[in-house]
Amino acid sequence: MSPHTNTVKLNLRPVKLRHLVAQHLGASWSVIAINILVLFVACLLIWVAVDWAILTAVAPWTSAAQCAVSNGACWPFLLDKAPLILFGTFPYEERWRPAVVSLILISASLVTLFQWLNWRLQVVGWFVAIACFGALMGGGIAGLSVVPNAQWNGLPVLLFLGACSFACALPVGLSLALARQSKRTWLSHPAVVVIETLRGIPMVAVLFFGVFVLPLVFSGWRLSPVHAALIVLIAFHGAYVAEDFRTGFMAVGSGQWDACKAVGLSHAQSLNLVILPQVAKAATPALTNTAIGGFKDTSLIVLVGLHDLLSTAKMSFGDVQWQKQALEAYVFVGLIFFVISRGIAAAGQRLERLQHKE
Amino acid sequence: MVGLINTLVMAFTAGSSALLLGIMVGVGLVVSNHTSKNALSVFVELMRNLPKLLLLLAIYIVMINSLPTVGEALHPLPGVYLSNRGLALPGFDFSSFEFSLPQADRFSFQGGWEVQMQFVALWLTLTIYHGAQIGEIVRGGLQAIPKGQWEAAIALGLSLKQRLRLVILPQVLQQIIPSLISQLINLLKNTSIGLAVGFTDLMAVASTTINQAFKPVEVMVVIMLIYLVIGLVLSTLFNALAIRLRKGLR
Repeated sequence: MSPHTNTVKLNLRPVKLRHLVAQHLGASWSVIAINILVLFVACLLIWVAVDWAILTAVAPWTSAAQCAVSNGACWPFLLDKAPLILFGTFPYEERWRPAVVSLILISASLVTLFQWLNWRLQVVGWFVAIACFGALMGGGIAGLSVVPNAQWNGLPVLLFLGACSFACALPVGLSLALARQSKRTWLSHPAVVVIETLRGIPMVAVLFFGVFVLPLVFSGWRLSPVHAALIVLIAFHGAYVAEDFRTGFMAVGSGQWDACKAVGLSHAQSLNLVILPQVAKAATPALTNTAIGGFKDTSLIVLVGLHDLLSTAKMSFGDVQWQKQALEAYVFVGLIFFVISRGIAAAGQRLERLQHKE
Repeated sequence: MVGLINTLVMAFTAGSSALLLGIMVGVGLVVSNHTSKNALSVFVELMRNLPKLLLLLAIYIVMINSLPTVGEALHPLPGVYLSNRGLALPGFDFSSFEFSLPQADRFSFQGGWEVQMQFVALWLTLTIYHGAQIGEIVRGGLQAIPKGQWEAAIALGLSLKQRLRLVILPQVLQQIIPSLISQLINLLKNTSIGLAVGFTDLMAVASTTINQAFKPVEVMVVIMLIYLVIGLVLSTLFNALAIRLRKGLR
């Protein structure tokens, strides 16, 4: 609904150009100015992008030697380095292992996002996925060679931390939200403190805490950085998820609880049968947003020395020969992130539609 | 201490420019024609689906690779130089009370006020990232106003300016101020990604201190407290401001 569509201008003289302008650019000067500015910037950016990616670029089927003389994108570089960006420094002949792990994690996420199985099977599936990650990446079982922690990097680490942390954050967040709602102050006050503290500090600080402080606190457990990061990510996302669930609880309202009491249901029964299904429905849009934000922020693990796609991208243009090709690597990584985030958004919308149909 | 000041300065400059960009994007998403609307929503979608760290690293590396050296610095306005070392602006020297223009030396600038490349990259990243999010909030707020309000304002014979100022904006502000506040506090927290390009903010100082003194627990507790306090102070200030704004507009 725009302001200019409401102004009815009686223009009795037929002025053709003016009609055209009003139709395509807007009726008032400010709207015309906004349109021209937006179109100008958009055209400029599109031109720069097309020029870089197509016109002056080195085509993927030619040799990489030409990249030295060209200012545009160097696609042979990307073809050459894509496996490195995806799987990092994992031993070359063992690369099928991270590939299989990535596939398992992607299929587990798809099953959860599209709700193909009932939730008990999903929980089992996630435990299997986590176990597979440990076994296949670490090796040492069934004749697989041992690969040290430092060589786990790229896509599997990103997917593991992104997907598993959010999957585990859902129950954690739900229990935090329930604790915050509780009438017992010894439950609700600590929950408030935990949630508000985690929401008040940046994720980078939380990650620093996890990777540098947690291993000192639990020095007996020999916590690897990946698992330490997983623990703090679960806590961090859990706090945000708890707030999403709390808005869901507020949307359901107290009348439902009263009704449950009147029918004679116990607390656990009313939660299970009446309240939670409604809460889940009300919280789905907010949870989708949190999931996307959480997945994007998983990339911050680079700052504490874990290697996800951003740092493998950095490795790929680390050679002197490839120093100019940083942007190609980042565009590739950005494409992966974009596709996954859009996928989560689409799945969230589908879930909402299904819930509304019921 | 330097870290704290840098964090606050960055949050303030990036916050104001993100607000400005966000309002422009939001208004543009509502009033502009079909093509511009598509262009703007592509921008918003990109920002919503790309991690901010990726944007920051990409912008930083492109700036370093493609901007000229100091000797051939871009010179778009008198007294403004853009090179791969940073942005040089005319500045005011508080020690000698003189206003000076930057002069290009062989490798650096003399005089004026020099802004580091890291600052420029982080500022640009936060501006476009949060500008898009704020744009989306503003669009939502504008579209939540029922059409009847516009029609009623027209029926009263108000001009476009009056319609916006007296009828539409007060209602929009009331709708969007809570989300705007949380966006700005997010922006404050997101200044911590400057660590990736070596911007000396609170987190970078903390990281250096941990490496040198090796007292991670103490340092992290202090840092978390500082972020919590800034966040609390900011949200109280913004809430007070929001209440006054609402009263002022009525």
